[in-house]
Amino acid sequence: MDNQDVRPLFSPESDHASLVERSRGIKMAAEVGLARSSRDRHWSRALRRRLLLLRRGTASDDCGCQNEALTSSKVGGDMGVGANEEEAVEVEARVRALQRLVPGGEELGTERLFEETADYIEALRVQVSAMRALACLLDELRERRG
Amino acid sequence: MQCLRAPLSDLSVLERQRPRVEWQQQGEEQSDYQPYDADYCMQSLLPVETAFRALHSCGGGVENENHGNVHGSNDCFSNAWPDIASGMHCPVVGAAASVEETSVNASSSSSSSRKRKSENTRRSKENSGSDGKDDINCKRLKEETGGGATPEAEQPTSKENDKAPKSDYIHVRARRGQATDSHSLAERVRRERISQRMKYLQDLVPGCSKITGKAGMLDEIINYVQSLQRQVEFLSMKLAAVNPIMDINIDSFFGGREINPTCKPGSISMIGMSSELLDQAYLQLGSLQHDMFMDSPALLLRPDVNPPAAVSDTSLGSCLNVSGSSVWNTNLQNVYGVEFQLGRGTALPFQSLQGNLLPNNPKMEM
Repeated sequence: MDNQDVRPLFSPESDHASLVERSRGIKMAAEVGLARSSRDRHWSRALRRRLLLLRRGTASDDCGCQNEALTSSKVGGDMGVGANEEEAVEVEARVRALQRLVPGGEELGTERLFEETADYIEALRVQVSAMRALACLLDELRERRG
Repeated sequence: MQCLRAPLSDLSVLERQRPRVEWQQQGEEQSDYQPYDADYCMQSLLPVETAFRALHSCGGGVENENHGNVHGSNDCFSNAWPDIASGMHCPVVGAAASVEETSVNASSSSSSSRKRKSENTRRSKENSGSDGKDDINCKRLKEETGGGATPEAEQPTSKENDKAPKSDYIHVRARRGQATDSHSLAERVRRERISQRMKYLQDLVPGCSKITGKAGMLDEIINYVQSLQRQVEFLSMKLAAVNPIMDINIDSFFGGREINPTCKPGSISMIGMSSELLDQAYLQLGSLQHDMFMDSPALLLRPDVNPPAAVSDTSLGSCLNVSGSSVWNTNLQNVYGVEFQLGRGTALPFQSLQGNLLPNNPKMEM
């Protein structure tokens, strides 16, 4: 990984802990950018809320758990009506996992969840490519300087 | 560089189209879905020039022809799903036979053509005859009914064709032996909507089309989302490694307004700078007209900056240019202050930079 090569060059500053913290800062900024730059979607609002909570130091887990408990019924029995019991349970488990992944997903029913997932995937893609281009740029510039 | 901005509907849609088209063009060879390698990002980093060239080509109005498998943005949802709803209410198109004959290709082309409605450039073409669209919608709905029912129904699909629609409003054909009361009809409609969305997701997620089971597809989708999130983390770590650091002040990211964060000189770190740049980049780029990508009018660096840096000016310009934005100047002044505090002599005159990432570089001891 790139870090291994770069780290010795910055030895006083870039011990592992600070690296992690820095990257967390970057990631948070990226998420903020993601949340702000997308249209007003459910997941982006939920992401903003979550970031706000993080910033204020409050644990955001409580709210998430509550929502999940309240709305778990929404997901039940949606998918596998035509299928056998096992499959339905499997599918449901996966839908729940998806709910956890997508910000704000816990409050959504299956149908809306899929919509939000699609939008979230697109936004993530854009973010990844933007960050990648940025990193590439920095690399290039660094090479040209050094 | 793509950027999305909330208030700009169409532009953000177009912006969002770009990476997909770009990936479509280049991603196949690079197989951008090698999701599970940690250094996948490293390997498949797009060269900046090609990335921006692709953007340039897209910037002209998203005219790329390979939109056959581009499935639009969330606009497509807002457009597409109401279509289905309206299709439900449209009068029965008596061409029952044509529905059956319509192949999957036609359905995908009609769906993709419908989803392309969100593009400005295609609106005139596609919407030549919104009535025709409604017909397509109705037909598609029926196809979906026929197609969606297949995996679920135990009976052969052909039997469905014999049933006439039960009502004028909901043209969901009742299956043989199935109750046709409104409750189960609604249930079935709902299930079909869900499966439609799953199909959309299937197209979105690379490599998902081979998988047929719901559980398997959901697995793929979950893996894909996870891998994207991991990529973001990885890239953020990479960016962190690339930038030198003085001190971390995460609060500076959130200081107040979106456009004018309260930057405290001396407390804002380089990392904060670059992160904020990332953030701002998303915001500001959305306000750029797309022709700015083409013209790249204002270079970020003035001519008096080091020549080696000037080579990448164009790409920087197209990537991060936010000409005239005061935000960058604000940030840079603060950075400038920090720079001085560190006592590092740099060759770059920071005042000439507008939102450039170069301030980071001189600090790197290479």
